Amino acid sequence: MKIPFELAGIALAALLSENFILVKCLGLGVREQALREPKDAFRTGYSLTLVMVVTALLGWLADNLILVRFSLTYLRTLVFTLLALSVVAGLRRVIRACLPELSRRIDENLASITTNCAALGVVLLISQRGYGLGAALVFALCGGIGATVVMVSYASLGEEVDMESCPKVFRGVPIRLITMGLMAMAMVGFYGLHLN
Amino acid sequence: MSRIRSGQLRRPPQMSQTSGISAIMLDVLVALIPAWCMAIFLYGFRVVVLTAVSVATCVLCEYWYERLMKRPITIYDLSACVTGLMLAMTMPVTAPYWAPMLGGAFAIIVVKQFYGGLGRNFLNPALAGRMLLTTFPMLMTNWTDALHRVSVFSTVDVVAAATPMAYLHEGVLPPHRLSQLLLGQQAGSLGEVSAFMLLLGGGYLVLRRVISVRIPLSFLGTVAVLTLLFPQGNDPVRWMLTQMLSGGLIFGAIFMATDYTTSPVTPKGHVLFGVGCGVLTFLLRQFGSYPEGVGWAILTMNGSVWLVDRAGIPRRFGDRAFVPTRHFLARARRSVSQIKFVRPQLKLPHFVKADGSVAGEAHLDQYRAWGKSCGVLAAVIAVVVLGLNGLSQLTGLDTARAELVEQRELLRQVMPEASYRSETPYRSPYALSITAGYSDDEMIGYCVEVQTHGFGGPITMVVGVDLDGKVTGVAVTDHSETRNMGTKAMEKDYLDQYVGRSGTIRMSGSNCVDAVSGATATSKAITAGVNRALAIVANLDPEDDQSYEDGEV
Repeated sequence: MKIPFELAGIALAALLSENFILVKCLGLGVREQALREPKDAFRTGYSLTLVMVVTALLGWLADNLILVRFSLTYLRTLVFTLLALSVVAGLRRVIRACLPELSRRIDENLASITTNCAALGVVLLISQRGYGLGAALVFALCGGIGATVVMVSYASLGEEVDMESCPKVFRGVPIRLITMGLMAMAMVGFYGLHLN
Repeated sequence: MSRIRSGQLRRPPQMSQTSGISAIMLDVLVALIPAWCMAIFLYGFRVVVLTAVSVATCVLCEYWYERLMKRPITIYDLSACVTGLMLAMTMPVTAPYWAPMLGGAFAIIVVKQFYGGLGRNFLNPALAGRMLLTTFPMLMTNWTDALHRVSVFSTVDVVAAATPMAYLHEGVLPPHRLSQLLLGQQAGSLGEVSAFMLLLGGGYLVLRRVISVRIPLSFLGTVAVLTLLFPQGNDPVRWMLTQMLSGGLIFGAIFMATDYTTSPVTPKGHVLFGVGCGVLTFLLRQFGSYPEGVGWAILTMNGSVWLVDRAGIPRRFGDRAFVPTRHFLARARRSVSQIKFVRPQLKLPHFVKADGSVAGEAHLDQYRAWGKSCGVLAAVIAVVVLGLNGLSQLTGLDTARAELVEQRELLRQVMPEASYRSETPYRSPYALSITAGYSDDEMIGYCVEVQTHGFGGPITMVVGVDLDGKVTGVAVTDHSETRNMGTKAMEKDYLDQYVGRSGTIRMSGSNCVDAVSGATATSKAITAGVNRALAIVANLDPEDDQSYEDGEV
């Protein structure tokens, strides 16, 4: 009873109160198109989720089987950075070889995730908090889903809201940042949400 | 005919419906008036001044923005008045006058006009203004009880009172009677307290067909069902009714969630939107850090209206139920089925040709370049690893020394009389660690490391308990509370209150500590941690694992 409850708490936190994009400001490094087109945002979102889960799994294994055992924890950042990069590169290769149609759709999105800090952030957070393997995977999966929902929301909002009617100095990047800020403000209420 | 006009019969849809923005806004204003008058009766004349400031700010901001931007002036459509009145009605009567000014300016200029004015904003302006003010520490948390009329000029001598939401957040029923909650004799925001008057206004809006009944009903219904199912150990029906009648639930459901611009357009979308608001409200009220969650829930749903609108597409006339859903699923399945698994073909290295012969030296250049870049990468990694290793070797001793100093400082704070501490065979699932403190080889107490949940996340602390079961000291080692607010409950003055106490420590009544004002959640979390440590030490038994529940010692 206790473990599923804890996992549910971690899942809820990763989705809402610790949302990767709106609360932790991680994972914003996606290509421009993903902030404009909902379809592209969705593809980027699920590629990001995939990368995050795989990186979390490998990162957890590397951390607990090698780094902690041989007291090499000062190498964490370096190892996780290389790991995240090679996961993206590896996934691109595997998908290109095995699922050519999927590769045609999401290869560019996957490539744009190379520099996304959410993939690195998720393993660093997991190792800092000392999550178990199950908790780590749930955290990565729900964090990715939360980021996907926000990205798609934001892209759809950009289609429906008129971003051109503000004063001239605010057009372009400023009004987009204000929009993102207003969305983030709506999430402030979830700060500290936890199951008890 | 006259009976129809006077509203005694239900109007047919083509007759006498309100139309035009100003007519609708006027209806909303009229519907808000009963609750507003009740607020004046309950909290005094300051309500009128606050409202005047708020409405004036909103109208002036709208006027000046449109004037400066050379747009048509739209203040006569009354929408700015409605925003101003709603903003005022969501504030506590003790709010300073600059609060509605800031909130109103933010609502009108940033939330509404930046996106093109009425009908084009994506968040409810009044609610966004209110929630901006909520993020200010201490600004919106001074409540006063009803019928204590507050002076227009000063709020210094106000008697603070707890809202019903504060009790509900603790999981206990407030002392108010249900009739008091219904009429509004409670502490709370101006407009939200009198459920009866709000329902009166809501009924008027529904009869005038300004709002549809779907959003309020599905919103309130969802909250009702969820609170009935999870009453946190109280009488379910009473818990549900109290939840419904306290806080901003009814005000939010009738006036905030039904805003045309920021709610879905289709009937199915209305219901989905209401249910979403209800679920989030329940989650926030039950598990959130703020006592009230209605505003946050509606704002979050405002931001995802696009999703609700897409999920609530009306089916074409003649289609059977779930046809759009089935179409969507079929499309998704088709799209996924295009992705086929291809057996990867392992390519032979370039220098082995298809006929098995080996290529000439020309290929080697290619491999040389490849090897070169790999070599560079490996060299960079090797240098970085060596550098990091050297650095950690160099600073390792200092780190260890600093840690030792830190541990000694911690022990001094937690158990001043002990000179060192060491491990014990004790384990408890509720403590991170249990160590024993020694003074001259004689054990004098236990240091228990526990974790509780504060306002912003987990708080880790070490509590020293001597062999008589008295607290010798408390130290917070890790937390994510708000700086200058929550951290006030971690200063020496506050933590010293616990020293020498035993038994269950409470926040009020006998054996109590005084919570730091503005940091109640943090104070409570620390008290809970101390109580837990005391209970763990009281039940220490080397034989088996501890079984222990939060509660009395």
